[in-house]
Amino acid sequence: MAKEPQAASATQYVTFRLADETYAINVMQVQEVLRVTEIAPVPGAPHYVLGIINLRGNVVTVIDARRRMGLMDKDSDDASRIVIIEVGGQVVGIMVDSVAEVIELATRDVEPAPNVGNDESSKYIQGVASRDGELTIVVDLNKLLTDDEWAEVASL
Amino acid sequence: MNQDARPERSEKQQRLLVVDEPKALTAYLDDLLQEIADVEPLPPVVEVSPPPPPPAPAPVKATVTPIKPVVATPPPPAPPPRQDVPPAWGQVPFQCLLFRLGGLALAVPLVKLTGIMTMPRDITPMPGHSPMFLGLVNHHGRKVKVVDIGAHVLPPDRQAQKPPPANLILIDEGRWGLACDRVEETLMLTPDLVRWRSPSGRRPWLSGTVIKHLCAIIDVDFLARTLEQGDWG
Repeated sequence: MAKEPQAASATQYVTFRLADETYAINVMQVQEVLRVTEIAPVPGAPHYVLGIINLRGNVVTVIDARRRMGLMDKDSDDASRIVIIEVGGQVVGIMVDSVAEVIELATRDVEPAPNVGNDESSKYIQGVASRDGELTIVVDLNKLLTDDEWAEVASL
Repeated sequence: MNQDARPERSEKQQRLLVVDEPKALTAYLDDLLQEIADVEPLPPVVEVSPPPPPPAPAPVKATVTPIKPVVATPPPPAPPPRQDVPPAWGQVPFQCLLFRLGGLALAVPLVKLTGIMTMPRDITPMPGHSPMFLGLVNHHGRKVKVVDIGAHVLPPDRQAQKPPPANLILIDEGRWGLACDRVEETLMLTPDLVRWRSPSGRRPWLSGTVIKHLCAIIDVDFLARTLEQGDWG
């Protein structure tokens, strides 16, 4: 008997909102979700870095997801959250408008990201999935920053 | 006195603008036509006398190496030929849908048209992409990629005048939606009414122009193919 194809496998994602759109990141890379706490700015940091927070004695860099994705800035509010993620052994936080839910998406339901303009800066968009008549943008956290940028964030 | 003169000048300017509107459009189409009409002359052939034969090399001991059979590799696929004659659909009378983009009349042949949509309000933008990519729209289970080709198709002075898009022209089985000012009528055209684009043209997205209707026919296949390849940055 042939085994079920790998394409039919499903992955769980944490969804969050940014500028009225829904984004999804692999749940396995999410460590925890925090309310917004005091973020200490870091002089000379890249523009998408909001600063650092003290997470139980560990220093964690917080990235502004809106800035990283070229969206309009927005002040944080009660719904804002810092999602603590782990990428390649590095722990960082990403500030999002709100965290929604955990969903399950079959691999076949995630269509590859369109390639309009062939912009390198959008490589972090892994694909798009349709749920309840709305589109969810699946983000590949490993490509949220380039290797050089990850190294720069690590050195803050 | 001066105050009285100002509104008059302003009215004149407005009249001039109104008069200039069709002129500007005609000028742009003329430019397209000019491009089609222009055939770059080939560089003149200069006869060059063959160089003197090189001095005969000193005799060397010939070494013979066995020749291995060479497996012929098929040549790489040739790019699709650029049209200088009507494409298949244009060799017989055909219908086109006329639409406006930045005031410019564009047309797509009906055989290449998938559908028309009212511009949806809920477009999902894709961050980090080219500004021409407006986002995705869910349409009958298909994710239509909505693009604004105005920056590539319109003359610079028309890009700022573009009204908010009212319709989407769906092409390539609905994979792409071209945002446009509005959809107009359909035209029945015969091949002789169209000035087909020459292969040397600078605007490969253009199939041809129809001077009678002051419109440019889009090469839908080229557009879809190059959009897919990410060539429209």
